[in-house]
Amino acid sequence: MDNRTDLSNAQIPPMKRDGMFQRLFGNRNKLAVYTVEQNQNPWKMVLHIFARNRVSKWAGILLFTIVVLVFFGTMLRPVGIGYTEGTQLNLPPSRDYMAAPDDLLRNLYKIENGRSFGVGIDCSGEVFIWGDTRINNKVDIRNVPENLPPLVDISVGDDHVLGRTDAGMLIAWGNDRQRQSHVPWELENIESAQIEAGYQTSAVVDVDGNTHLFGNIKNIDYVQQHKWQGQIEQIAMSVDGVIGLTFDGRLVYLGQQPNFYSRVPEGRFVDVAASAKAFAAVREDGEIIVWGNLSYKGEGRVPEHTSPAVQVDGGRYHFTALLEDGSVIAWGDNTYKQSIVPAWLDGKTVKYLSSDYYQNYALTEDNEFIAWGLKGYLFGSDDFGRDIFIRLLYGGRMTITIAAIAVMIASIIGVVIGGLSGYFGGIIDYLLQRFSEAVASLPLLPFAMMLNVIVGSALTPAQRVYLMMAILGLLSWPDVQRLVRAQVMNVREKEYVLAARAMGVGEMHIMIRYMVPSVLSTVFVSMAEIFVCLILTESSISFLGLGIPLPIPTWGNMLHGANQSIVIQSYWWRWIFVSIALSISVISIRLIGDGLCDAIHLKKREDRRR
Amino acid sequence: MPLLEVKNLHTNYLTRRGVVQAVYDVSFSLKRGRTLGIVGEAGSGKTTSVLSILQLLDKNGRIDSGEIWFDGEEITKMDQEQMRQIRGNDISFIFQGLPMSLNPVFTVEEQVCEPFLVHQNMSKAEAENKVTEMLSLVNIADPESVKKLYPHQLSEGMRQRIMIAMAFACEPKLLIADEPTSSLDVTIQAQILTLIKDLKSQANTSILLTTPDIGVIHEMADDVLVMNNGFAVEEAPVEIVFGDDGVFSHPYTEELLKLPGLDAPAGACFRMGYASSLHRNRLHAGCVFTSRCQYATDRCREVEPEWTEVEKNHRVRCFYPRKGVRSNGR
Repeated sequence: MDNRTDLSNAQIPPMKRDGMFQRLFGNRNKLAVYTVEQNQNPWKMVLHIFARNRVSKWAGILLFTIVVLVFFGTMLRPVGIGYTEGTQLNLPPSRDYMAAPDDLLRNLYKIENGRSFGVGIDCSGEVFIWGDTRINNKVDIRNVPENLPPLVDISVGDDHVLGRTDAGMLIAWGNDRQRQSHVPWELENIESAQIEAGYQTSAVVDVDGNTHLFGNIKNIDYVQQHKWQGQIEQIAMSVDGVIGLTFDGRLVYLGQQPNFYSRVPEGRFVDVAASAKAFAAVREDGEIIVWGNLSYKGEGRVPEHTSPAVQVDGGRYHFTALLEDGSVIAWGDNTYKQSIVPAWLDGKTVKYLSSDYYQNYALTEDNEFIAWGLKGYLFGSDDFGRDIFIRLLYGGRMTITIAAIAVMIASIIGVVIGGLSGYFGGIIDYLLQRFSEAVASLPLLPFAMMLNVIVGSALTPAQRVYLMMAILGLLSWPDVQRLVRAQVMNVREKEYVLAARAMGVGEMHIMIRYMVPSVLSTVFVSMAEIFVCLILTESSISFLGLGIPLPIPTWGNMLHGANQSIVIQSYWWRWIFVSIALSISVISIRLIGDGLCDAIHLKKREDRRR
Repeated sequence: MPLLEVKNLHTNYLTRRGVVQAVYDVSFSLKRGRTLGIVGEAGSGKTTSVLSILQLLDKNGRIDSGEIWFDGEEITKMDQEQMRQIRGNDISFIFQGLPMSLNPVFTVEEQVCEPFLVHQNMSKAEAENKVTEMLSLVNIADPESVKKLYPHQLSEGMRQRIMIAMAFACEPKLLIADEPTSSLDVTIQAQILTLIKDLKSQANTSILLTTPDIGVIHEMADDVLVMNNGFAVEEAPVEIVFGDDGVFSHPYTEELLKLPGLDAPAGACFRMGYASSLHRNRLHAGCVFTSRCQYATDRCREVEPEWTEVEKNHRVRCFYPRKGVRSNGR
């Protein structure tokens, strides 16, 4: 006797489609009860129905993508907690910091990078500018002086450009706040050997070996009347120091204070370059010597090189050097992979190399061009110069982890208390219910905020993360508890529980095998709801600056600055992407919870539709 | 020595409105290999009596006094752990509302395994083999595929037979069947009763059966205990109760036997009493059946009747047990 009926060919009533939402995401498929019967395992059945509900299926896929991105994306690039970069503040989303135009590359003469833009000149003296050139509301690097004659040399600083015309005239444009773009009249027609634009400063070396600086020279340790005037062939400028290379190959410090810079290495040198805080020079024998404020970023760790170096160039926190055999080495800060020489260059002979900030450009003998380093910030950068995309990933990981652990805590407490309360009833039930009501009557948001401030003020940032999980978990279990209790009370009275008891099954066994499975579905649905609630609560508290402290990123405290009108108006990228990520996650989880609820309570759903 | 002996069992339920005496001074005994049928209408205390034996009463139920001897042991004094060893192993239980007694979230196999795992320390594989054996024993064709199914995929009759398979799994000394057929339609009732009978003779199990259906008693029982309002009112072998030439009976039994059959004339009906179960607080003295008894006298209303041994093996709790010559000569 085989009682099973094959319903695999059962007809499903055709879908009715209406409304834009349904057309976009599909309708909730109508399921006749008998199509469900062919599924065997109740859990499989729930999954089956869940997968048929297209809205929640897509929500599930979306959430899964977000979780994968957030948890695995963070492995791509580590982020230092205390990372700040003064030259990279509030940059809008862009990927073309290194997008040198083809017209330039065909006939490249010189190429240099500023904080977020690039400038190049070709052999005919035409100027090309690309990248994010807007310095502030008034200044844009693209606004070159009118009737700009062809240039024979350029140098790009942090936010200004210095150029020399064919006729030997100096021209500067860009940010002029420190008068770094304002060429003094006595220098305008000087016969210059080298022009150098730095951080808020410009410098000129004339053919007689004299150096001239203008701009914010108070910020830089430099004396105009230094004893090597008339002997300087080349200079290199860091943010706050100037090193000169004399005609006879000696390195000299052009400031007066003894510091890391002033301990210049002895010997005869051929080239010198500067990063923000350090100098590198190439000795006669091709050895590279680095000195200055060598940070943990590794400017001092020159890689082994067999071929002698001939030229050295410096970026923001890294150096590159061109070797005699035409290969390139790079070392120093590698946040944006600017110190990894592309494998593409292996075996090729480089004839021109230029490094600035986080970008490097190289031109080979065969006129092939390559650029590497920071392309730009996908979602912009924030007020500390941090990449918002990376912070979004880290923040998402933190937010989701906090909410997930808090949900775990809440469900465990809820299941235990609801289970005890429902199973034993009587005085235990009474006491636990009153306790639960007391907890439920505490307003979640204000109370969590208060606890965070009172308890959290004595803790380290990492401890405050745990505190947040605990507070949220400990305040949100009553909902779970109430559902579990109702379900346990319902199941406890079922005949099959009595039957199991009559069969001699122990109480503990009944709890685990009869109560838990029936309670699980309820718990899952309520977990989804609480998860959403907790993500929003945590974000609200952190947004107000009372939750997870900066610089640990969460989606909430990334929005912290967005309560200022300047951020809302000018720096839209600082809040819009976070808000979108937060909304998508929350809506997805909601829809998943809804789909699960429908799948579990199929009967109820059919009734509702009628 | 009888297998099961219940002596003067009093079981109460504590409610907010006072104590309800659901079972009052009930005694019976069940000999090995026999079937005792307890018959009575809803609320007469049948289920409470049998639940008292296994101590499966609701939380507010309490055995007030009385002794229950099972296989030479007093089981009312046992603790939960000792009772757990007896339940399902020595005494198994089939419930009323039986099709609902299977857990909807587990397969048949997982559930029928349970008694073997709990009581016989079998390994999972052994138990699973045993399941197939048990399912074919209760006439389920194709047990190999049926045991992979969930309860909602089976018919009521099959679920019933699976429950019976579970009940006989550990070859119990006593099977308590509490209204095993009340939720089934008539053809399946007959199948199930035949099945229980067959298994009983195979396993030499004693059966304690409760039912509101006097027909089932006639079919199954060797001895009959009639209960009304928490009282046992008559005890006799089945031949005496159903015998045409019986001389003695309780008026309630007489009424039960007068239930109209299919061949009854139109309009014939059972004189049913309501609400008697609600005022079970022993507020009034006298016989509990008086309100519905057509023979009741003032003596019945004032004094509680004692057991009268009217003939061999036949006891009646009534002042006027002789049929035809009751209180007023009717």
